[in-house]
Amino acid sequence: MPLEQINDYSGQESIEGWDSFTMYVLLDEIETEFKVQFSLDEILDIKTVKDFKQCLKKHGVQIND
Amino acid sequence: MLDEKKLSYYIGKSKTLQPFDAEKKIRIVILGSFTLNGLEEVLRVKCSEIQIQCNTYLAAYNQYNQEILNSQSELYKFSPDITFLIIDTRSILGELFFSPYLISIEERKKLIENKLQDILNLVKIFCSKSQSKLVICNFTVPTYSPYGIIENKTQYSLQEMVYDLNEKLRHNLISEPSVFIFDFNGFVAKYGERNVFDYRQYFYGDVKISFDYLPYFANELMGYVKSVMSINKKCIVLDLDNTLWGGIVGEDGFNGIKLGNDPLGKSFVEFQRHLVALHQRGIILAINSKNNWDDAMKVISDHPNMVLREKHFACMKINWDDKISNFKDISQELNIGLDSMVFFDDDPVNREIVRMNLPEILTVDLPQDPSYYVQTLLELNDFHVLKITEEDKKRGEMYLQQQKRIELGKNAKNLDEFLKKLDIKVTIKKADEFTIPRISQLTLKTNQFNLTTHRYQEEDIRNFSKDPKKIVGCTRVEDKFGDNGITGVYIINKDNDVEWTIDSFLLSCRIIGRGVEYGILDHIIQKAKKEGVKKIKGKYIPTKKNKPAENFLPDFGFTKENDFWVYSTDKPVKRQDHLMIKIE
Repeated sequence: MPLEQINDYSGQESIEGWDSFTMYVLLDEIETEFKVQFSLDEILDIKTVKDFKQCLKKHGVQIND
Repeated sequence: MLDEKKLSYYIGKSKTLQPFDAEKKIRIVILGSFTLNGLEEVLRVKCSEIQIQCNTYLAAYNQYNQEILNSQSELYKFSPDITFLIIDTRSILGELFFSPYLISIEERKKLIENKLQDILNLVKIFCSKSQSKLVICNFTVPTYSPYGIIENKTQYSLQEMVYDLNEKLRHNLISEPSVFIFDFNGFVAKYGERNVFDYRQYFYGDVKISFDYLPYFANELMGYVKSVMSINKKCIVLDLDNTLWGGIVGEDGFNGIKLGNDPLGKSFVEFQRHLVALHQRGIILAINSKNNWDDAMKVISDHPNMVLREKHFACMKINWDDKISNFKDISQELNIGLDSMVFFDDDPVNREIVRMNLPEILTVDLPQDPSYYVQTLLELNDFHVLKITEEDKKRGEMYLQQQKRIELGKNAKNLDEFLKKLDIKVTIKKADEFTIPRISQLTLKTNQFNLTTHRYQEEDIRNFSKDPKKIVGCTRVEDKFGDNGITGVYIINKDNDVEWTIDSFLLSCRIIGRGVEYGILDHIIQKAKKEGVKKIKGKYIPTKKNKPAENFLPDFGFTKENDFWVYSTDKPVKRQDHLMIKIE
């Protein structure tokens, strides 16, 4: 999927193949990349790219919007 | 040492896999009691890395009972070569996983017995409906008990229940030829329960093998895949300096090398001990080292702490030639393909040269620190076989005998004299329970002297041997230097009263060139003639490797008739006078 097609609102609705499994694989990558660990509670609320960004901010990661 | 890539790597990579026309294909089914998403992708990528085309089917979550019980299920429609059944302790024990002592000892015993019977019943049904190999994971023994430190003072405790189930499973399936048990409990112990089981992933989606360890798990399962495909390695080729001992014998001298008495020296001794153990079960050892012959041989024969001695090596290339040509010589002398070899060398430059020039050899990345050599060796999953035959255990000895034959050949005036001097005895017999595993093994791994390269599993051979329309025979070859064991196989289809077809005819490469193949074919023709058969038909199906069998039928006197080579049984046969043939 080309990068420019992904925006803050991309998620389960708009990205084919985004299911609970692939979402966790993505989460795993993001956690490793930014050296953070989200709680189960936080994970369950993640539905879109924006949710990921908010979670990262909460854990002190600087994000350029 | 084994350092697995992340699951995301495999998921990404699996999406880029193109269907390719591989010579080797495998179909894998995964049946599980919990979420195993991702396992398929890892297996497919790992197969493609070793040129196997892999098709997979992951059964729906916790549907293993339905899949096995229903003859019309996707499992059977998929027609797998290998099926992994992965059930976890929690799902077997249910509520008792948490509160095992709510019920009495007797009830606990009964429960385990019932669970055992459930699984055995599934296995039985599976085996009656499918030709697939079945690999069952055993159960993780819980490390926690509500009884805490007095768990081991408790009769038929939680842990004992699971140990008992594992033991009973093992004993009940020990002689099932197509069922194997993967020691999942051992896997969890090796990598650690806290790594393999992650509570967050478990609650998130009933994941019981964490994403980080799923690739390690798949790697263990690949041991089964490789042996089902018969691409296991047969020969370990070793460098000497800094590989079998510490230091360089040419510079540090006999007394200067590290072997045995100090911490570093001990690591080399232990490495050698494991190599000897592999040798004893049938892995061939060879040396490929740049060294002075005399320096190296003095260590091998006289060093008090050497474990590996001359008798353990089927071939020793200790010289200043380049390693590539040495490899080619080893391959030729031992009659073993380069793709059956594993290479250990401490020098990264040498490894790179071998990798570039002979990519079919598995060149192992030895760690810089020799104290991790052992671990690296033990983590290879390339030596697994589904059955260790008597021939495997004797292989090392057989290669030494082979060297003596080569010596005799050098001294004989001509081929006839050499063959006469060998006193070859050939015993031909029909397949029976004792020889079926070896016959199947030979059809699976013989590449060179093999007319048709039809591959048959044990079950196939067993069925053929009961079929009145077929003859399955095997031959044992002995000579004055020793017993080569069962090294030849033929399968004949009795098409009708006057015509037979050779379905398979093969000889292990160890005994090619001694006229044995002609003796066996002569026997088949005589037998056909006795039964009134007029014509024997055969085919040569070329592969990349079976050139040695190409001219076998025409050389014997078969003539071409359309697609077949044909022999009339009334045509006289040139006797192989140097062979003593015995029919059992």
